[in-house]
Amino acid sequence: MNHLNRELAPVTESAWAQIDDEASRSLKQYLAARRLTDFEGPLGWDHSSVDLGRIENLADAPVEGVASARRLVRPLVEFRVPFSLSRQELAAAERGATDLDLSPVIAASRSAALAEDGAIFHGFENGDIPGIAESSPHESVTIDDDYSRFPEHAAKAVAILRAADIAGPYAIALGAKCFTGVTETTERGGYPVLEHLREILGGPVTWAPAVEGAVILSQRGGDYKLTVGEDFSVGYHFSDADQVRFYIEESFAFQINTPEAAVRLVTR
Amino acid sequence: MSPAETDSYGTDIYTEVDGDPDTLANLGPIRPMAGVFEGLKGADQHPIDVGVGRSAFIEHYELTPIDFQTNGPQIFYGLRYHTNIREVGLPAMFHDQVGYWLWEPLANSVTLTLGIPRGQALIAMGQAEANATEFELTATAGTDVNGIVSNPFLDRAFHTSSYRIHVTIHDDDTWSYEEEGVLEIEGGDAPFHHTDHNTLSRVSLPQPNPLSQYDVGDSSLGIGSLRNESGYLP
Repeated sequence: MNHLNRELAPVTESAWAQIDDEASRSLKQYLAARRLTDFEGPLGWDHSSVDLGRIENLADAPVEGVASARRLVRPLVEFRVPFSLSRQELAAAERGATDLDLSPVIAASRSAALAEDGAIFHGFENGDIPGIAESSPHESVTIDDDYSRFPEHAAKAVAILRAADIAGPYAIALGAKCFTGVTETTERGGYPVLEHLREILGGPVTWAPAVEGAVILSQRGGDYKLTVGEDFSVGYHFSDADQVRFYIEESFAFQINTPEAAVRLVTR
Repeated sequence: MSPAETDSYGTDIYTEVDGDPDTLANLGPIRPMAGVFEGLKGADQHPIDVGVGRSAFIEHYELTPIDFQTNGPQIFYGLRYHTNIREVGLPAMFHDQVGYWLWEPLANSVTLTLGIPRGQALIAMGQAEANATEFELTATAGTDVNGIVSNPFLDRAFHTSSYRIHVTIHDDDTWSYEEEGVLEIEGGDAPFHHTDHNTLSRVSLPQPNPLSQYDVGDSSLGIGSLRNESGYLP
């Protein structure tokens, strides 16, 4: 048994399978940064930090004439999202039900995914996570509600990256509104904006509901790295007469090696 | 005798056997060989145009645990290895060799796959108990199993007809081998016995295999990287 305490839960294997499957499906649906950044892990729950390879010089040392420094690391952040399921519903799984009401699992998975992506794209200061969009030194490209012009804005962002010596291919993480605009719009002449966007980028076009506006980033590799300690897992907390309490959790750190490798597109 | 009767795996050749993610705990007699080793007193006896050449060599041998591998009901726990040999006092590579040491627990056998950049490969195999401290593997040319294959020139000029390696595990974190390749050399009167032997001392402990790292206390959903997953708009 590990810290997730799954074995202690009053939950059958069949119900666990349905919970895990639903959580996995939802997480994969909402997660975007994992499609666009380098990935290391999972390194385990006991993995606590990422080596940065840098030091901070200290003012003194125990003995005169000795120089001292402290290694710098980036600690992993833990995210945990609680949810509960009714005992009645879980009991149905044991009877063979395959249509459990797992909406709390979906809601928790969505929150967990948006938390990870929100931290990666827009930063999480208390967790020492720099955001891709917020870290970019480039001036943002302003977009508007006329999505027939979206390829022009994307081309401008790609030109900024090229001018900064950031090679492609490039990807775009589209926030919910941009995603809708891009996928339902055609340019004059009827050519789909989505197809034009693909030609400009040379890389994936990704739905990223945690993103505000959109972010275009290089896919050459080496610029952004997500380090996962414990990958998303479902754990057991406690139960009462009616409900069984669970949680989804993960631990991770995010490192930006090249802040110049992304340009943000913001709405006017 | 039907093929199914030559081993203990039966006629269901498709159903995959389940393995233990922790390879280091399942390596049988090759467990002490996992890690990085060096040997400073190797000796080689090889053919030269005027008879027998003898060399002293330094060997660096790395053996890394890999995740278990299955062929249906057959399962291997193994070490991926690379050994590099230089003659004493000379910088150039004298011999380079890659492959796998494999322990097959259901058959109590050890298998060595061997590839060298002279254009030659072989598979040698032998029986051993899980706690054995000595075992011997053999390969023979001209067979479909546990054989030896060479590039055309090597096969013509230095045909290797058989190979044997005897491994001894010592109790001081060292292991040694004696190996012999029997060569039929073009123009030669009798088979030449190419021999090598060395004792290797541990330099560092092995890194656990990837799956065991993943499995440490892990009941995760296995999301991992989604870079190769088709997204909404791949």
